[in-house]
Formats: sequence, C-alpha cells, structure tokens
Amino acid sequence: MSILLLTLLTLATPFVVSSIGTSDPYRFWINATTTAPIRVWNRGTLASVEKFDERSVRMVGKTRAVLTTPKQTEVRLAMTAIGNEQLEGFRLHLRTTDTDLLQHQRQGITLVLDRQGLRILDEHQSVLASTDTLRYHAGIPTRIAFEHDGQWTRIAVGCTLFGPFRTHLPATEATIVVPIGEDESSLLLKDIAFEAVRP
Amino acid sequence: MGRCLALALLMIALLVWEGCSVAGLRGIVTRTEKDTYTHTRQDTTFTVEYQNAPGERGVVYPSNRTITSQRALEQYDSTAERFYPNFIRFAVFESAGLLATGPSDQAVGGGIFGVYVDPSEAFSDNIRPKSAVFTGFLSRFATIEFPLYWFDELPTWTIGTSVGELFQFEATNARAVVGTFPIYLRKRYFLRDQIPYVTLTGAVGLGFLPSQYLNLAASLDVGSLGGLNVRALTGIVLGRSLEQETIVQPYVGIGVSVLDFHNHPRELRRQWKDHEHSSWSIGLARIEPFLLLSGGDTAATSPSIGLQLQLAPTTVAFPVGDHRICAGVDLFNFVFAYRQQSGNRNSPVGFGYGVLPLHAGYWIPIGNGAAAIEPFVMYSYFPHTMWQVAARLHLDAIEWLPLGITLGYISSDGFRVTGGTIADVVGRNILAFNVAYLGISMGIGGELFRPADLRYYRTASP
Repeated sequence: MSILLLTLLTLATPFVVSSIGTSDPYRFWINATTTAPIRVWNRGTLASVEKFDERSVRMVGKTRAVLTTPKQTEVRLAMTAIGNEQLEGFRLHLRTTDTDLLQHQRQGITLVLDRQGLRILDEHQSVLASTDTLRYHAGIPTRIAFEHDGQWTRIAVGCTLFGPFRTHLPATEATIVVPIGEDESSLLLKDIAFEAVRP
Repeated sequence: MGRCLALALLMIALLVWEGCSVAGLRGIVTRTEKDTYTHTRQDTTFTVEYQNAPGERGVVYPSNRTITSQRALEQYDSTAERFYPNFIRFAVFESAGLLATGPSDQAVGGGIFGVYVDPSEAFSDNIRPKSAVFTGFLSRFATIEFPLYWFDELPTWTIGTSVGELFQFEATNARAVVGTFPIYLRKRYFLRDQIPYVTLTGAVGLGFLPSQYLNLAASLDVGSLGGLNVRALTGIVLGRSLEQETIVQPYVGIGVSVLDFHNHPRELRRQWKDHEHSSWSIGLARIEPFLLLSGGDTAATSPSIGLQLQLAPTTVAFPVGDHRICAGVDLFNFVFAYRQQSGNRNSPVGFGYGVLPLHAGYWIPIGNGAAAIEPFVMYSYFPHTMWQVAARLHLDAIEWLPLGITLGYISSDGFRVTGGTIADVVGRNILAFNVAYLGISMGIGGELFRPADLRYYRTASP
C-alpha cells in the first residue's frame, strides 16, 4: 500500500509541478460559463487587478488590464465603469494590443473619460471627438459600449453616440483599460459582455 | 559498409529523436502568446452622382446629388506570436563533490565536482571504497524549476523537480539516497542580478521513490554562462537509503552544472529573441564520425574511421576584445579510433575519454554568423591525457541541429583499467594513439549564436 502511494506521489510530481509552475496568476477569465468568455490579463502587480465577480473586474492603483475576446476581433463590447473619489478617470485603448502599446507606442483609438470631460483620439492622438458634458464622477456608473466593424468603430458613452469613426487600424482581440489615479484609486468594471459583430 | 550503414541509421534515429524531443521540450520551457488582428482593406464603397439640370440657374441653385453606399468588405486576419521562457531554471546535468560524508577510506571518489570517477568504475554500478577527500557526490539530472507566485510578485520562489537525483555518501548502496521526480521548493536571493548571476538559494526537497527522504539545502550559485555554473552547497538529508537504512547526513560540497540555464524573474517577460547570450555555441551533444588521415594501416582495403562524441559541448565568448576568443568545456568527450588493418577487421581500438575537458579557440563568424570557423585546442586531463588541435567549420544548417566539418589531430596517452564498462567494451589496456582526422559533426539539440545574439553587442535590453 505504501509503495503504491509512493509510486503515485512520484508519478504525480511532474504533473503537479508543471501545472502549478505554468499557471499564470496574472490571467483569469470572466464570463467563463457563458458562450462569450473574456480573458483578463493583469499587467500590474498581482493584487492590482482582481475578479470581482463572474462579470466584473476591479482595478486598484496604477495598473493596466487587458480584456481579451478570444478569437473575436470584430465585437460589440459593453461594460459599466464605477470609480472612487481617488480615481481621476480612465483610458480605454481600442484596436491595439498590449505589446503594440507598450513596445511600439501604438495607442490605437483612445477613449479618455476624466474629470475634465471625454475625448476620443486616433492613433496619432488627433481628437476625433471631444465633449465636456460627459465627465467622470466618482461613484456614478457610466455605461460604455463600442463596436468594431470592418473599418468602422462606434462608441457610446451613456446615451451619447460617437462615430462611426473610419480607421485603417486592424481590429484586435484586446481592449486595454488604464485607470488614471494614484495608489488609492479604484475602478470597478461590471457587467462586462461582448458579442461578435458577425457570428 | 555495414559500419557506414549503422552510422547512417544512427544519424536518422538521432534526427527523429531530436525532432520529437525538441518539440516536447519547447512546449514545456516556452510560453507562447498570440495576438490576432483583422485587417480591413476595403469597407463600404460610396458612389456620388451629380445630376445637375443644364442651363442658367443663378448663383445659388439646388444641386441634385445621389449617394449610393454599398457595404463590401475585404478583410484578412494576421497573427503575431511571441515566445517567452516559461522557467526559472532548466538544467540538464548537475554534479557536486561532497566532503566528509563518511570515513575517508570509504569514499566514492568523484573528486572535487563529483564527476571524476575512476575509469575502472566509470559507467558502472560496481564502485569500490577508496581513500579520497571528497568522499561522496551528488548528481542531478534534468532539473526544471517553474516560477511560484504564491509568496511574492517577482517569482524568486520556484517549484521544481528532476528526472532523478542521487546522493552517494559512501561507496555502498546503504549510504546512497536516490530520488525519482523529487519535488523541490526553492527561494533565491540575488546577490548579483546581472549575468552571471550570483544567488543564494535555499531549498526544501522531498523524494518518494526509491528512497524516501527530505533534503534541506542551501547553495551559493554562480552562473550561468553558456549554461555553465559553479556552486558551493550545504545541506542535510534525512530519510531512508536505497537499502532502506535510516540516514541523517549533513553535507558540504562544491558543484558544477552544464546546460544549466537560469532566468532572472524579470526575464520571464522578455521574448526569447531578445534574450542575452554569452556563448558562441551550446548543445546537448555533438557526434562526429571521422576519417583517419594518419595512424591507419595504408595497406588496408577500407579506410580507418573513428567517432568523437562530446556531451554538453559549450563554447563561451570571452568578454575581451572583439569576443572572438572563446573557451569552453564538455561534460565528457569520447574518442574512438578504429585502425583498419589488412586482413584483420578486429584491429586494436584507439580509445580516449575526458571528463570536463577544456578547450580554447578563436571564433571567426562568417557572413551574418550563420557559419563560423573555429580553430581550437582541447586538453583533457582526466583520467588520462588527451589533446587535440583542430579547426572546425560550424554551419547553422537546421534549427537545433548545427553541422560541422573538422580537420584535426588527436593525441591520446594510453591507460589501463582493471575492470568495469570500459574494460568490457574496449579492453583493459587502452592503447595510446596519434591520428589526424577529417570529421563531419552533427550537433544534437545544439545552437550556434551570431554576433548580434551576444549580450556584449546589445546596446540596451528591451
């Protein structure tokens, strides 16, 4: 019996080691039980991005999260953003990837919502749309939705529609969320869901 | 003819094994990330048609315009794959000589690094007690350590295992502890976080079969340069030996490891292509059939041939001048030279082998470095003297399969063994030989590095 147990332990060791060792705590899934799961990639410290519930992600401090819609590039994605007093706003980078953003400074289409207003910028940081009637307010949920369809990107913040913007940027699986604020800031992204533009 | 066929079949078998093992290994040691892009080259055609009425219409007049939009997409997808290391440490072979693990006249006799085994006992399990300073040894095969994020952000903690490890404290199985797939937790403190890294490592290991033991260890590691590492280690083994005798054995030793690659935790986020290298070439093995240009029987009807086998050959670039001066070491080097004599096919065999033989050379990259010429001198000092002077043309022909053409001269002193595997295979009296040779080599799991790959030529790390 003891030999059997020792044999099992010996045989199990490489599997245990490789499964623990190759697991990546910086990545997790939300909407995992739905037909449109989203993979979240934490690009900050371990505790800075966490799965708040099945459809929500909470970001704390200076960090970055990549919401990935696996194998789907042309999507409609919607979420509700709520931040605390310490948060100054947040940025969304669309039609780019984390590697492109970090290593090649390809910003993609950028949506900035802060206490001054809302700006939508193209890849050259030219302003596509700007308004100060929509602002970030702590504790007030803001519904954000966007759609990438071919060369068109449409963005909706609250009840206001922006675009469609025509762009030559390729559509990607990634949506990058960057909170603007100091270490005490917190941003909750809830009710995140997406669907493919073309099934 | 049969010998040539056997060599050809050996080459084919090695190629197949190479392909399988490389594919499997790559899956374990490499993390792949993929980005998918959908490019839309054309989307929605707008046709604008003006149908203005003819004649005079004044300065301000209505314009009749028809805009037709037609949605037609022309798209293609592209992917970008990036490859990152998935491990903190991957080591093919590690060995250490252990001090005072038993009475000095009961020593195993592996020498300072635990690999200098008596040739009469080499590759044999029949080890006789002898008198030596380093009474025991530790050997570890195929070690891998993965990052463990449980305790800190940067994974200085690791979880790992080895295919096998052996603690031989004395020349008896009652004082040997062997573990297959032992599980280890290690914590590293980087005393120097630039290559070559200097780390202080604490380890806790558990072995289940065939011995059951707990190993508490600490080591001061220096490396790696081209996969070469040296370390001082200490620890205590508590458990049962191969013969199920209780063992509580502290140990202190000095070790060396080959093909032992370390990644600083920050390097896990650096793509393989951006990694820094210190060596011109590394490899799991190099096999080199050769033709004797001298030393054979000129009256023989078929040519005299030989074989050189290098295990874990490593050539490290010296950080001086233009870095072409290089030096390195093999784990083992075997040379077989068959003297074909007329009328007697079972002719005396020239044989030599070296443990950790040293070599020095000058690396001359050709073109962009896909080929290189390396004149070198190799000196083997244990268990007998063997040296060679040669020039090798290295060709980066196939990935992980470098080829080479060598023209050289080997001189080997004879030695005598009293028994063991070498005596069974080669004979008790190993004759000296001096031969010139022309060889064609094939690296197994080998890689040649170009000047641009060396860390000395990199201006900044990405």
